[in-house]
Amino acid sequence: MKLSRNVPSYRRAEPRNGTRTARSIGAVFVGVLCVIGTLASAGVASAAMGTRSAASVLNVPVFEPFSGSEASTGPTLLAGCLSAVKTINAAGGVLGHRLNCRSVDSGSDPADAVPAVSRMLTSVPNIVLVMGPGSVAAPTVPVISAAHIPMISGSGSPQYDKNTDKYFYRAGPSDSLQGDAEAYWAWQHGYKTAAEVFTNDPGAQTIPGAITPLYTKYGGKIVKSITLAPDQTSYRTEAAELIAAHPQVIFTETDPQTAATFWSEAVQTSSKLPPVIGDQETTLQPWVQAVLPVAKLNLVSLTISAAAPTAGFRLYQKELLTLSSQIKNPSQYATFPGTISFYDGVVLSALAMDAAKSVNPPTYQPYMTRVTGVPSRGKTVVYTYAQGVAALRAGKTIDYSGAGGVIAFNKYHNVAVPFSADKLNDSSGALQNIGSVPLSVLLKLAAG
Amino acid sequence: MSLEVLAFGYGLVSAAIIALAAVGFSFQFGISKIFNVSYGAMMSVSAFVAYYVDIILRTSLWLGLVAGGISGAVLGLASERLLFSPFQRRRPAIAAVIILSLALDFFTQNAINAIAGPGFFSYRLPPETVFRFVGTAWTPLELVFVGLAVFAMVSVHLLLTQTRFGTAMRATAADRALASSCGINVRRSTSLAWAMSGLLAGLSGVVLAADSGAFSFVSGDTFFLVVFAAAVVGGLGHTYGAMIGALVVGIVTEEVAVFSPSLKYVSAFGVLIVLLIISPGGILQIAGKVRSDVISE
Repeated sequence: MKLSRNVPSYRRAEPRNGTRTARSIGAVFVGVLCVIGTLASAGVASAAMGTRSAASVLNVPVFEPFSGSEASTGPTLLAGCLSAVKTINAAGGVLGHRLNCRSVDSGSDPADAVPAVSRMLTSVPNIVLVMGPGSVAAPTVPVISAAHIPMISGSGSPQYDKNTDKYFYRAGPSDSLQGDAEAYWAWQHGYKTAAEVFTNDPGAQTIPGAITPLYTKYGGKIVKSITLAPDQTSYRTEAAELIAAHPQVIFTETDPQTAATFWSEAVQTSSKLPPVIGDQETTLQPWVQAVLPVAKLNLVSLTISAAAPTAGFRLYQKELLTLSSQIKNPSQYATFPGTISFYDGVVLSALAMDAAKSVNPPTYQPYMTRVTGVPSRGKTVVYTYAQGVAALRAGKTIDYSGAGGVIAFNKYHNVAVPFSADKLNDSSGALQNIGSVPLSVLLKLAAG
Repeated sequence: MSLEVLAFGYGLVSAAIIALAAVGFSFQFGISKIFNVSYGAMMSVSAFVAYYVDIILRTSLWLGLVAGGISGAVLGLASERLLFSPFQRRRPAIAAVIILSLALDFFTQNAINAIAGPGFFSYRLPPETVFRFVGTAWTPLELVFVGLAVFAMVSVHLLLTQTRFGTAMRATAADRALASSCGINVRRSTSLAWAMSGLLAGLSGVVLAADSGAFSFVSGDTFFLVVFAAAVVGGLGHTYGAMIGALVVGIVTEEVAVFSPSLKYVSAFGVLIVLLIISPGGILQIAGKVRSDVISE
């Protein structure tokens, strides 16, 4: 029987077949999204709560730039992680688990880093530790911390000088300490006037903020302060301004590309440049590789001390040199403080897991400061992972003094280290130690 | 010596390097109306080709410059013939073409990184003496760069105005259909224009790398922003406008550096914004020389 025009409206309002199909598809789609969302949350929660599966491999992402303008940073620090993981796995791993380093590209821009860290936490299984972040720390540290995973960062930003995040540990000194060391060194060597040449990125700008107050407190004068926009094709005008100011010494930190352009044009303007004081950046192979062919500088770099030849340092170097299938030319990182600190960071974390008898990040995290520190009575000093594990099994309390020497975190999870002054050999590109700024001096300066 | 006068001299050098690239970019855009984001990557490829010739084969930078120019021309021709022209025949949206060029840019950049690595490279350049002239300071290499840029601009002008090929290109850029109906081989004109544009990209890539002291796989792309600014300031698609735009951007950035080095790029793009507001067609439109987007005299 056909429906007449007098059929009640509720019958005529019955959806057509096409609409019904669309609604069904929509419902299925929403359902699938809910399932995916639940699984993803479970993955994040798993990573966050450290509910490790019975899998035997634990991942240590190296969350640093592997692309973009800072692409050279990632491999430098990955080398440290890979060396550490090799020594740890060779000694039997951590509580029956093998460790695995994974490179995760943070990009050089904070806008890229935030989605990258979220992807890392959801896609990399069994994360027990994050090595990094560095230059993109500000937006990404809270994300990693919310996942309850310890991280060992190379960031020098003074915002972490009074860090209260229990999952955040700093592998190297604060830029405040760096600036103090540079100002002290310059004054001690009789330089009464100075210029500052730094790029305008936040990472570089924190150092002049520390240099200037101390240097002027001593009685020195900053005659020129130049802030460079990085990666420009010409800095001729800026170089001319620098020379015209006649400083006795120049403080600097710039990325390799900017440095190559600036210094090549500076030496064209004046063949007799004053001495230059740099930092860890000016000891890195990419910086030296970029600048040395185009400008011969009287350069001294104030950087955290490379290690004395302890058993730990020798083991680090030995393992590093076996990584040529994974890292291009690994020997270039043999004495780089950043690589060494990442090596030590992974080893001390592994020892913390052994000491806590757990690979669950929130559980082992408090032990990171218990297996390190200034050597004291009652603690057995160990220099390698194998030594540490053996001592722990024997019921001893250990103090890991690694490839980079003593690791002493303060209550803010910062390390204070003496600074080494290394002069760059213009011909070979090698660094030669010519002195140091002792830790006692720096601690006194930091205390005011 | 006044810093402002010194900066003017430095600005001319910067303008020369920018002009080499900006004219090539405008050339490409003028005839194809394609916003080719991978132009910077083409420059990087040429810089590395020149490095291979100069350092690995141990010849000279000048041979490297020639090789870089040729590689740019080949790359320009290949990308037009194999990628952009076939894609354009399908009449895609403008955004799709830009995405394609962006993909080519990432592909090229990362291919260079995979082959050469993320490090920094330098040509073999001899130590130089600075010549001072009327308050400016120049090195011999900078004079060569300026001379090369002037030579290239004059050559482009003569090509466009004195040769049948140049006339054919201008006709193709003005009205493709009409040019074709007049018997002009528009496909060949377009391909040759891209080859020429690639040649300029190649030369500018090598010059940029030599001037910067050191270069890496991202150098071309970093420079592309300034090139784009110069091309737009002059009037996108207008080769003469690109020359003027390069002069404006080069001198303004160096003069601003006298007061605040960190405002260099701010000033370059500030000029771009102001000009676009006043005259979307660029400087040439202000001068009343422009009616539409063509490779013009």
